[in-house]
Amino acid sequence: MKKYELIDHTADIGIIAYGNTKEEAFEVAAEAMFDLICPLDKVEEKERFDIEVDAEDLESLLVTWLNELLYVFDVKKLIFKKFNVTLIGNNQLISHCFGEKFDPKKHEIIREIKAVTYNLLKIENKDNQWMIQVVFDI
Amino acid sequence: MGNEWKGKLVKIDDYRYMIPKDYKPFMRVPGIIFADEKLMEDIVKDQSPEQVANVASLPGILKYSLAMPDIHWGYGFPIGGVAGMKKKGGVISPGGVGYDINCGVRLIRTNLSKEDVLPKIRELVDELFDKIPAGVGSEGDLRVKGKELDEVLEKGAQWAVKQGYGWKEDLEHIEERGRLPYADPDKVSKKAKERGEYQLGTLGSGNHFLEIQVVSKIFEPEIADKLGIFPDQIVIMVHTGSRGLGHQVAEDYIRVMSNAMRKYGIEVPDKQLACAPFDSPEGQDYFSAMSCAANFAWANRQMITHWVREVFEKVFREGAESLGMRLIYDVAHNIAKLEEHDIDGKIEEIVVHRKGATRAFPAGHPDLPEDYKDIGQPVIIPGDMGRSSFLLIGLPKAMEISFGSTCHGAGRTQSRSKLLKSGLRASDIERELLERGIIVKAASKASIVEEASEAYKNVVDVVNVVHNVGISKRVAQMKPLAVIKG
Repeated sequence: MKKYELIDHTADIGIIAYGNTKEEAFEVAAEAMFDLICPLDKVEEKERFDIEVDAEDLESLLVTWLNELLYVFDVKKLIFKKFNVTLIGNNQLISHCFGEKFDPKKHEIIREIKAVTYNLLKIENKDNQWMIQVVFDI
Repeated sequence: MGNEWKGKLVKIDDYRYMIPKDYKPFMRVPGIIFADEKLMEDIVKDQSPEQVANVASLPGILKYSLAMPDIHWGYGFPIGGVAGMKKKGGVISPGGVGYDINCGVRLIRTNLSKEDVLPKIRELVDELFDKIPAGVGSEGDLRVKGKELDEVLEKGAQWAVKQGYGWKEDLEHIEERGRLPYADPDKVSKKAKERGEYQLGTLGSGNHFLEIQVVSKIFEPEIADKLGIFPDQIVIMVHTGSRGLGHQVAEDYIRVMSNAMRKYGIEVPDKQLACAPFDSPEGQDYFSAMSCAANFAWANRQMITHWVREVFEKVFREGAESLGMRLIYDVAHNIAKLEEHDIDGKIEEIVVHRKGATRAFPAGHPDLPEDYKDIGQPVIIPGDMGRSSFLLIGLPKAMEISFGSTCHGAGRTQSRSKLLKSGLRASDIERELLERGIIVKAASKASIVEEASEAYKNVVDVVNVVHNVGISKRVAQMKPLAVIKG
């Protein structure tokens, strides 16, 4: 089955990411976000960057983590394509992120994501499948 | 996703609809949407009217929760939303400003006519594209950090002019003279500053653009003349904001406010409406940080203006002064401001949120520069890249019914994902536009598809409503000749 799909939103872009575990759904959501910024087929896993975030609940944890990834992309110019997420309860996330530095000769950046929003945010478990719906501000 | 909205709507007149206060128990005031029947049909196709109702729940909201005719679905507030809150007992909400703090537009005039520019248009486009960093994560050559960045955050366009970007008289033609005084760089996170270091003096992507336009129609010859606008004239429009710095400030303070709401016992129907009392430490901190981001955006547009002038000087081998490249005006359309408004017959200082809405002060308003005192504040309304843009002027009725505000653009009507799935190709759009005499140069093909004309309402319809309802008046219409996008 598809790992993620796009959803309609007038001004922005949203995705639904699927995973067999909560962690996997988080990983797919992050992958989808970077795929919207830059097609990932040309991105290699050359560098590892670790990110840890805390938040008051699972939803905030997701939004905070994805926003942190955008910040790292903006400042360090790192494009990530693979993620290893560990959740400690619903309040702490530890991630190892793999990717490489943006290279204008090799990568095409196609879209700017300004921020990850709480708009229509959903993290659900249905029939043992985790689903994350998240909308990005473009 | 884009479910049709089936809430309660009452037609007030040909250009106004009301969501009555009794539609939802949490509403403290009614909602009012400025729109005609045709636009309204489109507006109810998504949940943006519900967002107008949600905003009406915010503590201290005055009179009504407003939406301009370019309303579309945002997060928290709709895009096109305007709300005035009490300074004491009212809230400030980052969701009422948006992630791109002080996203705005400016219009630069020239003495050149279409005939002068057409033979050199390619050269101009290439030079502008080279000179002004555009696109995602675009970085300029210069890096402004530390104390100097703090100065940008404190002084905005005034910093830029002091550094030699543009002219002193430009400042008179910028909303707030390019600087909000409440800015405190200590309230801006290290992360936000890091993002700003790289991005000062860059256009960015998405709906941001730089356009060379031609004045195609004049509605008010006398006012146009006073503004220095004439038929077939070449003007330049710049649309950008505070870039990553502003996004980070918004995000930082949405978190701060989500936590603060519990402390202040505020409940809102949508998490994206996170807010805090304006006079609380959290509210004041956000207002200071937002002011910093707004100042960053004004410095950004001021620097871009300087480079635009340099490019024209190079291509036409003539000074920008003698080319008449004066700034007509610069407006912010994502911002919260302290302004004086008439509340039940008493002039009160209130917190006006404009998210995808433009200030439109009338003639005689004390905040206007001397040379515009008798005509009113210019309002710049960008359309989509294939159609047209407008120059309007603020009218007294805006002070009576819209907290001195009007629309900000065309407003999206089609989703990005739909356009991407539609099979519409960037190369086809480029060719079609070229056939109509519009050159497009974009850093990314996706932005051409996602920003296609089809994505937007017709700006003519939007402007008709604000003109007919009397909150601003059409002065001139401009058509694009060249579009530079991120």
